[in-house]
Amino acid sequence: MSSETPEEIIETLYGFLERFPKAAGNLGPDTKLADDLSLDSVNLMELLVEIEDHYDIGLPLNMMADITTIRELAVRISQLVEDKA
Amino acid sequence: MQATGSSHDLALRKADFSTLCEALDYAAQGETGVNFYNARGEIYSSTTYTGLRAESMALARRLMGLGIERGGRVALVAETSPHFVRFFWACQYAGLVPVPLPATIQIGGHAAYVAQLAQLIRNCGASAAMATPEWVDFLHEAVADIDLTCVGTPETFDALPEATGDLPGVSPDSTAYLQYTSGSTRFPRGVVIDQKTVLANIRDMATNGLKMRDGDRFGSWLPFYHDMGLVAFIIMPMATQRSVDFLGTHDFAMRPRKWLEMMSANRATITSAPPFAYELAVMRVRPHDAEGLDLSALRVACVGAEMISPEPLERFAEVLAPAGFRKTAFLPCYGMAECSLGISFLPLDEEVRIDYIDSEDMQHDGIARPVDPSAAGAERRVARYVDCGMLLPTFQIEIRDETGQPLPERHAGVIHLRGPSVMSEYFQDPEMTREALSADGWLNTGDIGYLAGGRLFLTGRKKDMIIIHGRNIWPQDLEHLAKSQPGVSYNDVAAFSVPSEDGRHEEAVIVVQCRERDEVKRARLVKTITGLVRSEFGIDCRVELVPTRTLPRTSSGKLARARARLDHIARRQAAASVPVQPATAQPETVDEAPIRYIA
Repeated sequence: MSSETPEEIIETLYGFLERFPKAAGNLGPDTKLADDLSLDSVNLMELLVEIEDHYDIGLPLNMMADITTIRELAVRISQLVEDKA
Repeated sequence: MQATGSSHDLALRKADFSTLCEALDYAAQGETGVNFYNARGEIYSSTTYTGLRAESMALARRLMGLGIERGGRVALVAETSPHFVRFFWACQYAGLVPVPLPATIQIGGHAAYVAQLAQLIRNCGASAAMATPEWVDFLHEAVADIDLTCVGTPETFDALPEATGDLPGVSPDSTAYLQYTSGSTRFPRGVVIDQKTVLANIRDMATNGLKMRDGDRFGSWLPFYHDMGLVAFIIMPMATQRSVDFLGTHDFAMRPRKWLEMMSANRATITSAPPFAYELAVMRVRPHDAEGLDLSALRVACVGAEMISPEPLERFAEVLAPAGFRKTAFLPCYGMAECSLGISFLPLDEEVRIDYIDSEDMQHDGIARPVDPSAAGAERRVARYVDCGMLLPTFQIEIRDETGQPLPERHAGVIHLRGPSVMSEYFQDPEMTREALSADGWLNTGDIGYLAGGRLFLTGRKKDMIIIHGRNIWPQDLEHLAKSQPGVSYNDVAAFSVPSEDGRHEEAVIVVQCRERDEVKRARLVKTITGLVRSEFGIDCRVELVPTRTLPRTSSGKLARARARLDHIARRQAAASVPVQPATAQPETVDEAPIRYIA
């Protein structure tokens, strides 16, 4: 799992996100997690758990404060995976 | 690392102390203490009260050296961490007032969070502010334009020189802490709780509500900036010399099972959570998981802080029965920061009990007429309210009508309380204080309920307050966000909550009067407002655009929020072929079982 590019991570995130009601036909790199997908705090937690488990990383508590899009999330994940390696 | 034990030779004293310092001085003679667990469920910090007292006194000397006047406020970003606990007790020894600040941010919510911190720090007039490294950048941003004596991480404070001389300490009348109740970003209200006040409440809860005993052990993931997290899990275990285990709120939210595992491993006897947390936990527990857990020691699982609906509790009890969980451990309770914490508790070992009453009588006359749910005709609607138990003995209660007259049994009215656990004031807000607290000490809770057979039933909570996932949200805050949009004027907005379609939760609604005809612009307005609400509060909300002059007003021109809510429900019912949940008489429905038709 160590060397996914941000583009590949974006694809992986689509997989995690597609079960949320507003995701169908609505997933792109610039899709906004909150505004476009209406993720609430419970959905968000489910997503973070999947990310942590999949990449075997710990996500900092405040990470989401400055993240709005799927691409931004992917870039951050890729940094965390790199930091770990 | 090993957690502190549950038992020791020190005699159990149920908070019969005159100050919190005296309570910690006593607890420090035993072997119990405070333990923290990480996201993987591993213990990462364990401190006995002996150690905690020594650390707190050392830190108190460093705080003393800052020269802050007695009673000065110290703002603490209340992440679940050992530092918060140490700073909280250090403030007591230093004669300073700790002020827990929220530690929670929504997606993309950086700016909103910083603004909230700044607002609270200004409101309490803090002299110093602390945040752990994960949060300190937000804190520094928040205080950029505020003059404080010291701002930083625990390390910053630990590098200060220790002052010499006696620690100032506190008296029974000193303020113990300031508690911001609503998390309201624009209308913060700091509840002022004195030493003797919080100790009176804990004494009452420990003696009469929880009937505490040797070997009791607390376990919690509740945030430290929440009254239940602070009073029931930081102060109460200390004031009764019991060990407590903490899991971070965020870690609980990600992996609710860790809460159960922690309580299982340490044989916790007392926990507490809003109903949704039990629901969340049971959603993530597969039936066979229960076999690996041992919750047989858990004798008290308090349920409070939001609408209680019995089904999730029943499911939790069913799924976790193989782990030894008993459904009689559930303890519905009623409380609020203005009363320190606890007000009423179901008696121990009783099953959660529902009062079935005639919904129409309740709506029209506010009378809770009991009905037999199995015999109810198809014509009559039945409302269900959860028994919130008996008042703690130090409280006096009156249920009053709109004119202030006391009402008899089974008549719903505004709950008024008096007793030694009631706050002294809202911090530096004489107007709000006068509104809530009479000269002879009666607190107007704003909550609606009735008494029956010595039991309290809540039918509606906190005038206009929206409570979602246990969080209090003021409609004014939601309205403010909507009003910030171009073309939306001051009078165009009403926010409230309604039962969700499955009837098990509350959902927020903002009705906006809108002159715009262009569908694209209308859709954009809806999206912008829902986005703002989400980034500030992390909740979904429904935005309804209506023509001008739709929102009802009182004779004095004020927004009639309760009527706006009923109108909204009527519009939805008219629009949908599927009926939405019927409206209740009260605009707010917390601690109230959702109303259902019973055939």
